Amino acid sequence: MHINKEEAFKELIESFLGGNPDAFVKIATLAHADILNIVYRYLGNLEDAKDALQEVLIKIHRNLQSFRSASRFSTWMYRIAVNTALDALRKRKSQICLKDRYLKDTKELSSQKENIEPYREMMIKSAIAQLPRRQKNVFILKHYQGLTIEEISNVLGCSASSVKTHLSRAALALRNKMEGKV
Amino acid sequence: MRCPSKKDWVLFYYQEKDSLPREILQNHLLSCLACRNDYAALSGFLSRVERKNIQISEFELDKIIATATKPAARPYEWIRRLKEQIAENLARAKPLIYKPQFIMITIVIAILAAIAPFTIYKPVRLAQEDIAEVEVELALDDNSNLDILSELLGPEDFNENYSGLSIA
Ligand SMILES: [Zn+2]
Repeated sequence: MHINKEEAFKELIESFLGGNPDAFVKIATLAHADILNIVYRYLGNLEDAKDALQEVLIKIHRNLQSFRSASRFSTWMYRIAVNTALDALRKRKSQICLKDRYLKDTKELSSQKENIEPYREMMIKSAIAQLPRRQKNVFILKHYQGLTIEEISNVLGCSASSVKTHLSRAALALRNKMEGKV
Repeated sequence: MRCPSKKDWVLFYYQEKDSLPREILQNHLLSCLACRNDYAALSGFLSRVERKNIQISEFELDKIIATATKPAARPYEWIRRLKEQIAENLARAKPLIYKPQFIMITIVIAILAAIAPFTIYKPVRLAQEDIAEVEVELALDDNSNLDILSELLGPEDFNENYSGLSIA
């Protein structure tokens, strides 16, 4: 995340904690795109992503008092977003159902293969959904969110070398899955 | 030079590095056709994985923020909060189970729990035994007292006045 954005968050948090409730609206406005982008990659559809965004904002609003400025706000926010998305995935009946849904979607789309872009996107979504949890976490934060290895290790609470290993496994697994399909 | 690993190439694509510096990888690409082809395929694939940002309208965002900041709009909020807190605490406590200190403390508590019934309750049991012993002695004394009384009064008077009391 951009350093200026982090500074802006810092000022707004101070203002909010100082008793200005409008500052939270600004925090949410500034943060929503990053949160939405992350949760969407986990959940695969906009409606669920919007619900998850709301959930993340509720958690931030409720816990901002206990947020320690020793850590970066964005790290804390990403952690909440990842956990909320994973929770939402768990709440869905099962991962198999999700896979089935993607497979159904891809079957429908494959019958109209001339529309190659949505087909490819759906295949990639399905492949990402099937990645092991840690690979999925790392790939989403790196590929879609562009966080550095260090930032990802802070968000997920694991070592940089583990992040690197999971990133490379995820990228190679996706490539292998997609080979010959698009 | 030996060909870098697949992991090195993935990290190279994302402009991160592992064991090898970026310049070495760049030079290797110029000199090794196999890696050049492999990397072209990998970077081609990753660059086609769509990165476009997801967006919602301002109106939708305002609605979401308004709901998020209004606790009254969420019934049974406190139950949900409690559940969340319990789940969080459990999740935090989980890794504790794997710590050697935790295992040691558990073993010590188990040993103490096994020994405790024999050590803590022993004095109580002894005290009760002592009381019983004194009671028996007193009862025996009572009996001998009655014997003396019966001798003093003579059996007739004694039976008349103390017939309810038995002599062992
Ligand atoms: Zn090579």
